[in-house]
Amino acid sequence: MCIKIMSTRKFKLKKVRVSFMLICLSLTIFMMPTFAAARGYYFNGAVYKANNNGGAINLEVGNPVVDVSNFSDVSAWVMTCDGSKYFDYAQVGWYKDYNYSTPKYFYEYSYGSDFWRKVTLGYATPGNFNDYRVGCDSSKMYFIIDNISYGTVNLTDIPFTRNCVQYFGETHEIADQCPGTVTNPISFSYSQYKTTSNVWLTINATNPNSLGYGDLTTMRNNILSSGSWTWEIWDSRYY
Amino acid sequence: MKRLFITSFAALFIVCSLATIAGAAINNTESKSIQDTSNVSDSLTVLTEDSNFQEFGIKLNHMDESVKIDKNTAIEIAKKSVGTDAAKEAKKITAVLAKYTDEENPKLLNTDISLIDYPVWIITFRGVTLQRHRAVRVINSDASAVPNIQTVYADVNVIIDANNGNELKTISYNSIVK
Repeated sequence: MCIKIMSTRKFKLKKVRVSFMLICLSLTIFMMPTFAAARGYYFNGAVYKANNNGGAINLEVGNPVVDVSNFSDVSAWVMTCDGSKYFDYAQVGWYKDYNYSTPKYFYEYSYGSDFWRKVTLGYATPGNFNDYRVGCDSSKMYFIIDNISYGTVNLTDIPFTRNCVQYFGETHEIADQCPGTVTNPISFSYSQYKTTSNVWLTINATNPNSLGYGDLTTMRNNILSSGSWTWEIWDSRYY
Repeated sequence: MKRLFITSFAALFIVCSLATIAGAAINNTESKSIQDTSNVSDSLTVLTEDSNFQEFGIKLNHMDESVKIDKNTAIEIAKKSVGTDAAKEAKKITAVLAKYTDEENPKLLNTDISLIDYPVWIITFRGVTLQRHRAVRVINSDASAVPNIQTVYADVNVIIDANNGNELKTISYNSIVK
C-alpha cells in the first residue's frame, strides 16, 4: 500500500516536471525573436579621465561592414561622460546603421537608463575628416561639427558628473568591422578636452585595453602606452 | 490528471499561437491603414503636443502650399530610413506636412539649406525598439557588471524634404507610447 502511494506520488511529480518543461519550451519558442540576437558593446580607442566641460577630436569617416542579419551599427565618436556609469553621456560623431549605404553624422545623449535622445544628421562621406566637439557652457551642452552647432540640450536634462572624455570606435557584433582596415586605418587626431575653466587643451588619451588592442583581438590601434593625442584604429581582418 | 496536463499545454500553445497571429495582423493592419489613407496630413498637434519633440526647439506652422512629395511616398522613404523591421514594429505611424523651423540650429549639415519655414513631411514611428550607445566604464569599473546590448523603446521622427524627398534629419527619443 505504502509502495503504491509512493510510486503514484513519483509519477505525479514526474508529470508535473514534464508539463513544466513543456510550458517553458513553448514560452521559449514564442519569446525566441526577442532573445535571438545576443549582442554586446565592443570599443576600440582611448579615454582621458578629468573633470571637464567637453571633448573634441578630428575624426576620419569610415565605411565599415555592418552585420545586417543582426540589425547592428558601427560608430566612431567623442563623448563627455560620467566614467563610472554606462548611460550618463553626451556624444557626437558618425555611425553606420545596418540599412545605410554610407554613415551619417549623429549626436546622442542620455541620463540614466530612462532618458535618451538621438539626432541623426546628413550623410557623411567616407574618407572625409571632421572636427567633432561636444562641450558645454554654464547652461547648455552643444553638439558641434566643423565649428557649427547642430544641437543643444539643457544641462538640467543631463546633470551627470563630467569626469571622463572618451574617443572610440564602437561595434556590437563580432561580425561588425571595427572602423578602418590594416592598409587604411581610421585616424583620430588632436584629442582635446575642455577644462572646467572652459579652455580647450590637447591631451594624451590612454587605451583602457591591452597595448595595441581594443575589446576584441581583431580591434587594433597604435595608441602609445604613455597615451597619444593622435592615433589610428583598424580591424585586423580587413585589408 | 494526465489528460488535464495535456489539455492545459494544448490550450497554452493555441493561445500563444493566436496571440502571435493576432499581433502580426494588427501590425499589418496599422501599416496598411497608413498606405490606404488619403494624401492629407495628420494634425500638427500630433507633434506640438509631444513634449519630447518640443524639447528640440522646433517650431511647426501649417503648410498651405502644395508640395511635390505625397504622403505615401514620404512614408516609404521614412520606412527605408528607420529599417523595415522597426517600421513594422511601430505601434503607430503618423505623417505631418508642415513648415519646419529649427529655432536654435537652422543650418543643415553639408548643405546650403536653412531650416526656417522649410516644407517637410515629418513621419513619426511610435513605439519601436532601437539600439542605444553607452560609455565605457573606466572609473570604479566592474567587469562583471558590463551590460549586454541595451535597447530603447523609442519614437522616431524622420524629417523629409517635402519637395524632393531627401531625408533631412531624424529625431528619436524615449517613446510616449507605453
